[in-house]
Amino acid sequence: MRRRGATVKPGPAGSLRVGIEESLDVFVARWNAQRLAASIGFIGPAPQEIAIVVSELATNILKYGVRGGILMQPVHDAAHGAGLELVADDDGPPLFDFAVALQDGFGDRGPIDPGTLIGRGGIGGGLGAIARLTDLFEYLPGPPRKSFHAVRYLRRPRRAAR
Amino acid sequence: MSAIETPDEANMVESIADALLVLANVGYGDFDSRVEVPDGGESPLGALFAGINEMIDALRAERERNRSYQAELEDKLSTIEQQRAAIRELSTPVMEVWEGVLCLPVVGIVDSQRSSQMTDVLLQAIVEKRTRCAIVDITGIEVMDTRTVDHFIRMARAVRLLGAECVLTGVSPNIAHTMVHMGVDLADVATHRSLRDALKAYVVQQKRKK
Repeated sequence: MRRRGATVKPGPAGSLRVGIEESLDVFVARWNAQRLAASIGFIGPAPQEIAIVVSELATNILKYGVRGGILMQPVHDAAHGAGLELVADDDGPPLFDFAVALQDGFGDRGPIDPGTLIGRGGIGGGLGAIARLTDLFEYLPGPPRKSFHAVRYLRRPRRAAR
Repeated sequence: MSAIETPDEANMVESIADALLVLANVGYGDFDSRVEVPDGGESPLGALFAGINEMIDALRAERERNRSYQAELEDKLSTIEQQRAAIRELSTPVMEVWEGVLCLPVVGIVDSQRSSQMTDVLLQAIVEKRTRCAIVDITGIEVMDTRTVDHFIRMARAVRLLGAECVLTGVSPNIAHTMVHMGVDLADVATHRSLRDALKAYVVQQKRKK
């Protein structure tokens, strides 16, 4: 419990960085994300959707990233208005192919064999879920660290159906 | 505010009025204003005003201490609340609520990893406990990604393959909407409004069979 306080670092302008090192940190991250989202003005199912996004980002850090964290910050731009930006970074190896990994049921090297699904701790749907629940989703392979960059706006811009 | 030169009556009344204004501010929670002390605090009135200022300083310090206590307390409460939520969500309990009936209550957030773990746990438990009916209760879950919903339906099909029935309860309007839009074939999953309804229906059904 002693290190709990140290993993959440408040930054300027309501931003927050949550370190992800163990499974409980996933909860800390989405807890904080949900609160931040509500404070920005997200209502209805939106804070829960953001919590899912943070959950997927944090879980991926734990699974593939060794050590990392998620930065959450309120953003505002002229085109889209207010929103919440999430930047997840870790020191794990870069993805083999982001575009492949984005597809449901796929890992970063191709489709996941259904025979290996049991006990895998995932269904190959995490990145796809992030893409669907946010309005901007980018992958920056680094070096030095790979990072995922996602933004969800209060008013979701219309986009092509996925 | 005019400087007080002589302790003549008019000046005294004026400075007392100023002091009252300051005290009123303090009453409203503003600890920034101070009384102007006449005669360097030498006269009786000056001593009184200096005393008032000291009192305001003390009040201010006390209030700051209170604030930090309060912040500390709020911090602790939020930690407790956070831990409570984590405990609730960390576990995916599978309970045998009736003979041959398993219940998987799902709370909090369902992400892809969690849905995968739930499938593992549920399928394993169905085989081990010779379950005939598995009730997955998602009351309180407002949102799921389409892929996760899809995985849930697959889980229901897998349950059928194991010779059990899968019942979904507590579906929120939002998730119902998602399912219909996805074109989910509801023949695969029985649904009931609540866990209680599902259990009741199962018991009635068993009685009829006998």
